[in-house]
Amino acid sequence: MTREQFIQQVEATQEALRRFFVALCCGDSQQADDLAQEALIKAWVSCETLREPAKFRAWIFRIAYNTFISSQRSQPTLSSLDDSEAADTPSDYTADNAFNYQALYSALDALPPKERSSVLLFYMEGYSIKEIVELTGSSEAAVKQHLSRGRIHLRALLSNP
Amino acid sequence: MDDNKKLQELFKGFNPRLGSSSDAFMATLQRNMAAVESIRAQCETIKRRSRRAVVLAAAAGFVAGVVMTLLFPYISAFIAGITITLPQLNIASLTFDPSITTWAIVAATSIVAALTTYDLASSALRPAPAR
Repeated sequence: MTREQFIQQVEATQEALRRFFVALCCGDSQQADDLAQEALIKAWVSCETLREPAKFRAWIFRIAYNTFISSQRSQPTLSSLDDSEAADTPSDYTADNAFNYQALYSALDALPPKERSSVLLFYMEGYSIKEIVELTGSSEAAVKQHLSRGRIHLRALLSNP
Repeated sequence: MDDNKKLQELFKGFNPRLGSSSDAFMATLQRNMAAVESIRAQCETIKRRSRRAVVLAAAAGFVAGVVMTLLFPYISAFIAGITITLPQLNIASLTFDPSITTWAIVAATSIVAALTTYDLASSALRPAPAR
């Protein structure tokens, strides 16, 4: 794939990819853009491995998923913070000026990264379970479990904000 | 099933706000890609230079080995002459074989020639410092 072809493909998918990252980062659009850049550079470096250019979108989302999971592994979680510390922490949600999805972002933030990714790939991006299996490299049973747990968690979190 | 439908409805209108315009994002991406390409090109150049230095070192080692092998009878005779002029080293000369010493000298000279050529070639092929 030439540089021009790569850029052309990225131009067609970058908005969807960035929105996916914003949702994964629970509204932190700056972190989302950084992760999107990182994922796209990884894709550019390894674009010789892409056999079928028609599957560019699925391929780029696979790299995006892996980039997000790696970033989550290298970041310390906030679960160890107590309530007073958490109250002093600037909220990531302020990054999204619209504040329209604050409840949803808050609920997504409470989900484990793999559960969050599966829910967003299924409901936001419209991928089927089979496609999510290919994309994430998890088993079908694991993806179904992530979706099922994600549904239960989201219902609980959205009904009791 | 009900949860599924509710979530589908919830995500239907979900359109997260982006942090920057598409143009700004693509411009940053192209800058990052250019930086990656520049690093890739530098790595390629270093690899090519290193390969050239290895080839030169191998050639120098081979030539030194051939020359020393052709000189083998003279070197061997010279070493044998040294042992004859040292009669007090009787114990040592019992097991002393001039041809082994000569082969060791041939090998050492070839290795030293190869390593020196590699060092010289590496420094001569080094790129000029950036200004």
